[in-house]
Amino acid sequence: MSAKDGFETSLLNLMFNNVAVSGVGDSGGLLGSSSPGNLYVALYTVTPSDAAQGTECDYIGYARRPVSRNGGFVISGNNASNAAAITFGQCLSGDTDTAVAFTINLGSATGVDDAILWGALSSNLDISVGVTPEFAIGDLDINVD
Amino acid sequence: MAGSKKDAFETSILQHIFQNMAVSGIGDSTGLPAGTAGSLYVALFTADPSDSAQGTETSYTNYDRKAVARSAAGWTVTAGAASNAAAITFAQCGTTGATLTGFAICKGGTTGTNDQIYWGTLSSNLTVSTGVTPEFAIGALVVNED
Repeated sequence: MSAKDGFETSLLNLMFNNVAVSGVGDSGGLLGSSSPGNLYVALYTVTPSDAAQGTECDYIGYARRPVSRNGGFVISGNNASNAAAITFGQCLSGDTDTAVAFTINLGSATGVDDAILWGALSSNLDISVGVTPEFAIGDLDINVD
Repeated sequence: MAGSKKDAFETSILQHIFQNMAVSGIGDSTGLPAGTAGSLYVALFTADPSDSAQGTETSYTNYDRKAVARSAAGWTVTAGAASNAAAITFAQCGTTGATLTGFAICKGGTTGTNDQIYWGTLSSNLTVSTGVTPEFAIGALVVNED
């Protein structure tokens, strides 16, 4: 069984842009949250999986980055991507990390297991003092099928 | 880079779609709320739909889409899969039959309307002639999220 293209787009719009999916159950359909709020992007030194949490970065200066569910993501077909650059804190001192993966999370607290989506980075990123990790516009791709 | 849904989120999304359960924590603490439960509607096809194409819904005599409640009574959701919790029994075929090849889960109950959200092929074609009553046994209609 496969989801229809139009429904995939609708679900992405619900998750990332808080747009209701009309017609499911009644005309109002699957409703958005009362406030759009944010999703939070995190970086990992050990890749998560569908079932496992992985290990989140903890370099000095690191924090999850909020992305608004109101214009923060671009939805096209079965793809969601970041509408603006996502810039993490600059690595300041002490421990360094090698980032290998990312997650999209419900909340902002580092280390909390509340990811809804995960993915591997296209190449590892060594984060040493002075480095500022960033996803350029459109670099964070989520595909559903 | 591309992402993959976490197992728990796959289950939450299926519960939201098929059982009208809220998905807490998205946007705010309440998250995506439950709405009016209503029903989803199962349809049968003589030409398979695709992700983008409507296909051809059957029109055998007496055929109608079947409503399945968006609740635990209608659908069972476990670990990334939703399936029918009770048998889904279509109307018995009258004069004019058909050969069924596919099915869809739709938003509404009106035959021929292009409002599918999921589609699939039958494990084998079903020839429906006078007196035949198509049915999905309990658990026979499965939707997987991955």
